Amino acid sequence: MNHANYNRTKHRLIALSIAGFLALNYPMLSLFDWLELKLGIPVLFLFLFGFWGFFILLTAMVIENSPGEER
Amino acid sequence: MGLAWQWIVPLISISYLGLLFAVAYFADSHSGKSSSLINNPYVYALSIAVYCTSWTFYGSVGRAAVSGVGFLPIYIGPTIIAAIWWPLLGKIIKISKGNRITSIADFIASRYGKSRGIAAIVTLIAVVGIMPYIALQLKAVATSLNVLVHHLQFGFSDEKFASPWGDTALFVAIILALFSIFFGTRHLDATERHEGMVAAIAFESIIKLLAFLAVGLFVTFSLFDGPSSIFKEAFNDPQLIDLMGFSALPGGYASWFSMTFLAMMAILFLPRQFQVLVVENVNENHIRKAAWLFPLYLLIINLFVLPIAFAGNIIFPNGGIDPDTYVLTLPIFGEQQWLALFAYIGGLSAATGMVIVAAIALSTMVCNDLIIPALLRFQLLISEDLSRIILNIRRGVIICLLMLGYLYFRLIGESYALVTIGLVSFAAAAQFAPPILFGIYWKGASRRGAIIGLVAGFIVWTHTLLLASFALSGWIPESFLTDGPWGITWLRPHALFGLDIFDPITHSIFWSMLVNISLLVGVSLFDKQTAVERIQALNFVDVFEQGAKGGDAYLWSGSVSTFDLKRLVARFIGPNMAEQKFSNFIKINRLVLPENGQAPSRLVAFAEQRLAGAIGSASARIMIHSIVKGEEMDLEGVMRILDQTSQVIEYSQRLEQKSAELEAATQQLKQANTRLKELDRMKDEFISTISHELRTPLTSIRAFSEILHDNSDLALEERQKFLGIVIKETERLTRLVNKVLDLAKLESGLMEWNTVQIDLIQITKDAIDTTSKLFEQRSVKLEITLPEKPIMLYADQDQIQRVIINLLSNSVKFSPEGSGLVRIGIRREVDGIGLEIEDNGPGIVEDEKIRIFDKFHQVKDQSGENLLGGSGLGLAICHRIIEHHKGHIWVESEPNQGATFIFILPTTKPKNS
Repeated sequence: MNHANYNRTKHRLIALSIAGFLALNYPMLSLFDWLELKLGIPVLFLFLFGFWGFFILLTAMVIENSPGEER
Repeated sequence: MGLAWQWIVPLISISYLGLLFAVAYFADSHSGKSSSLINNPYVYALSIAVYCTSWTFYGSVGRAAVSGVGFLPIYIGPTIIAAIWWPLLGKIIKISKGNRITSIADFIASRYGKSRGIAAIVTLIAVVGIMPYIALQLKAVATSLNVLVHHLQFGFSDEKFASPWGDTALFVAIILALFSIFFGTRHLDATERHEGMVAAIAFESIIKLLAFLAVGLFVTFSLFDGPSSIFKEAFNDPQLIDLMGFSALPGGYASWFSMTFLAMMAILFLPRQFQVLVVENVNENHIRKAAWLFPLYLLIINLFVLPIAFAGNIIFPNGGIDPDTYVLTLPIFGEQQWLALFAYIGGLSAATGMVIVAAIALSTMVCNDLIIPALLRFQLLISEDLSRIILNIRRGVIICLLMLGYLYFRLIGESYALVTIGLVSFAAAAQFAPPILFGIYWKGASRRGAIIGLVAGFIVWTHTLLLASFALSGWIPESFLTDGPWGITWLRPHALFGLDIFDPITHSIFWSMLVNISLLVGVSLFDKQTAVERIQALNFVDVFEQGAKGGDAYLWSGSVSTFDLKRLVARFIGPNMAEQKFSNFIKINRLVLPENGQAPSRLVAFAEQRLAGAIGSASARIMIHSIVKGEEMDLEGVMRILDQTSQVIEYSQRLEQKSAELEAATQQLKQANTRLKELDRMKDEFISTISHELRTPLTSIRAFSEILHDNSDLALEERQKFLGIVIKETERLTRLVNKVLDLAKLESGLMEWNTVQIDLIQITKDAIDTTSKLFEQRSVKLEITLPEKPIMLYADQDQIQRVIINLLSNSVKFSPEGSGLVRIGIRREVDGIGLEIEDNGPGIVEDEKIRIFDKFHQVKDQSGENLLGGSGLGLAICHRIIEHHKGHIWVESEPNQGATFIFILPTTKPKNS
C-alpha cells in the first residue's frame, strides 16, 4: 500500500478518536443528563451505548475500507 | 439442599483450570506452524480481552449499583484509543520486533540507551503498582467462592457467613501461582512468546463473555420482562432514579474524564496488556481487526451491566447483599444453581486470565531486569547452562508475586470495593505512558529525563494513592489523611498543596502526570544524550524509515571470537538452539567469517539481540560487554564513525556523479567535434564549389563583355545575343547570391515570418504552375493527385511555396530527360499533414539521406552545369523553413528506385512564433 493512503487512513482514525473523546465527555454528556425514559431506557444510557456502538461501526468502516499490508 | 456444594465447586474449579491447561498444551504443540491457533486477528482480539478481569465481571455491576454509569469510562477509554491502534500500537510493535523486546520495562530501557537502571525502576513500579490488582483478583475469586457456596448451601437465610475452608484467598493464591508456572515457564529455551497461554486466554475470554451474557439474559428476560421493565420499576423508586444521571457519579465529570484517560493509558501500558498486545503479537496486521473487534467485545460484555445492577437493587433493596456479588446471587435467587455455577466459572476465567498474564509478564521483568543484573554484578552466574536457572528464577518470582498479592489483600482487601483497588493499579501503569509516548515520537527524550519523571510520578502515586489506601484501612494512623504526614497540611495525600476539588484518583493522576511529563520534558531539554541513547532514539522514532536501523553494529569495536560469542548465547538459550540461530544468521546475511576467528560486529549485534530475547536488553548488553575485549566506543567515537562514514559515502556519491557527468560531456564533445570536422570539410567543399559556380557565370560575363568592348563593329544581331547571355548569367549569379543571403538570414533568426491561415492545396497548385515550364523543358511528366477540398494550415505562404517549388525543381532535375515521371500528392501523419513528391531518378543512398539537408552539402553524383540548385543550399533552406514551422522534412529512397521527398506541417495553430 502506498504511503499517501496510509496517511489518509491514519488521519481519519485520529480525527475519529478525537471526536469520540469530545463526544463522550463534559460538556457534551451533560446534554443527555436528564432523568427520563425513552423506549423504556434512561436517555443517558441510550446515548452512551448508542454512540459507543456507532463509534465502533465508524472505526470498523474506516479500517476495513483501507488497503492493508505494508505501510 | 442435598448437594455438597463445598466440594463440588472447588472440584469444578480445578477441572476447569485443567481444561484451560489442555487448551494451552494443544496450542503449544501447534505453535510456530502454519496451523498455529493464535495466528489470526480474532484470537488476538480475544486475548486483549484479558483486560476484562473479575473487576469487570463482578465490579462493574457493583459500581453501577451505586454510581450508575460510573463503570463505563473504563471501557469507553480503550474504545477511543483503539481507533488509533493501527498507527500507534503498530509503531510500538514494529519497534519491539526489531529490538526483541520482552516486556514493557525492556521497551523503556531499550529506548533510553539500554539502561539497567531504568529497567529496574520500571520493574519496581510495575510490581508495586500491579500488586493491588492481583490482590483484587484473589479477593474476587475467594469472595465469589465463599458467596456461591454459602448461598447455594443456605439460600438467603440468616445463617452465619463463614468460609468452609478457612483462608480461601491463600488457597486461591497458591493454586493460581502453580497454574501460572505451568503456563508461563514450561519452555526451556526461555524465549519471549507463549502461544499456549494466549490460546488459553482467548478461550477464557469466550467463557466469561458467555457466562456474563447468560446471567444478563436470565436476569433481564426471566426475572423481569426485558430491560424496560427493570428501568420502569427503578424509575419509580426515588433512591434508584438518581442512578440514571450523572449526579450519582462521585467526582462528577472530572472523575469521568480522568477515568477515561486512565483507561486509555492502561489498555496499552499495563504490563499484562503490553504482553498480549505487543510481545505476543504474531502479525502487525492483526491490529486492524482488533481495533474494532475488541471494543465490540467490551460493548457486548457491558450491555447487561446496568440491567443486572438495577435488578439487584430492586430485588435486594436493603443493602444486605454486596452489589459486587449480584452476578452470582441473582441466579441463585432465581433458583438457577447451575447458572450461578456457570457465572462463577466466568468470574474465575476473568480472574485467572489476568493473574496468569500479569504473573508471567512481571516475572519476566523481575527476572530479566532485577535478578539477573544483580547476579551478574556479583558474578554469581558461573554455571554453563543457565536456561534452567532462569526458568527456576521465574518460577520463584511468580510464587513471590502471588504471595505479595495475598499480603496486600490481607492488609487492605476488606476495606475497599473492587473498582477502587483496580484504579490504583491503573494510575501506576499510567506512569509508563510519558516515557513511552514521548520516547517513540521525540528523539530528544533522554534517559535522565525519563528516570526522573518516572520516579517523581511514582512517588506522587505512592503518596496520594498507595499510602492513602494504607491509611484508609488503618495500617497508618488516620491523621496521615486528615492532617497530612507529620501534621504538614499541604502534604495531605488527597489534597496536595491544598488542591481539594478532585476525587482521589483524579487528584493523583493530575499531580503525577504533571510532574512526570514536565520533568521528562524539562530535564531532557537540558540533557546531553550518550551515543547508545541517540542511536536507540533514532531506531525508535524513525522505525518506519528505510535505513534507520544499523547504527547498532558500530557500537562494538572491540574484538571477540565467534566461538566465545556462541558459547555465551548457548548458556542462555541452549547449545543446539544457539548453533542453529548462528548458522542461520551467517547464511542469510552471507557473512564471511575472518580466518582468525574474530566475530564481525554485525554478528556481535545479532548475539546481543538473541540474548535480549532471553534476558532483556540491559542484561544482554552487560553480558556481551563482559566478553568483548577492548573498549566500547564513546559518544565521540561512534558519532565520528557515523559522520565520517556518511561523509565519505556522500563524497564518493558526488564523485561518481561528477565522473558520469564528465563522461557524458566528453561523449558530447566528441560528437560535436566529429560534426564540426564534417562541417569544416563541407565548408571547404562548398567554397570550392561556390567559387566554381560563381566563376562560371563571371567568366562568361567577362568574356562576352570584353568581346563587346573590343569589337565595336559587331553586328547588332550578334551584339544582342551576347548581351542576352550576359543578362542570363548575371541573373544566375544574383539567384546564387540571394540564396546564400537567405540561408544566412534563416540561420541568424533575422528572417521575417508572416504566419497566416493558408490553403496547402492552393499553394501547391500555384507552385506547380510556376514550375510547369521546367517540366516542359525537360519533357518530364507530372502526375497530380490532390483532393478538391482545401487543407487549412497556419504558415508563411511565400516560404512554404518556396519549399514546394524547390522540391519540384529538384525532382525535375534528377528525373531522366524524356522518360521522367514525377508524382505529387498529399501525405497524412499523426502529427500533421503535408506533401510527398516522388521522382524516378537515380535515388539517394542511405548515407546521404540525412546529410542532403545539411547546408553546403551536395549530392555526390550530381553533374551538369545547368543544375539550378547545384549550390547545395536549396534543401538546407527547405529544412530550415519546415523546422521553423515545427514540422519535419525527410526523404525516402532506394538507390535506382527514385526518391520521395516528404514534408509534414502541424495542423494546430502555433503559439506566437
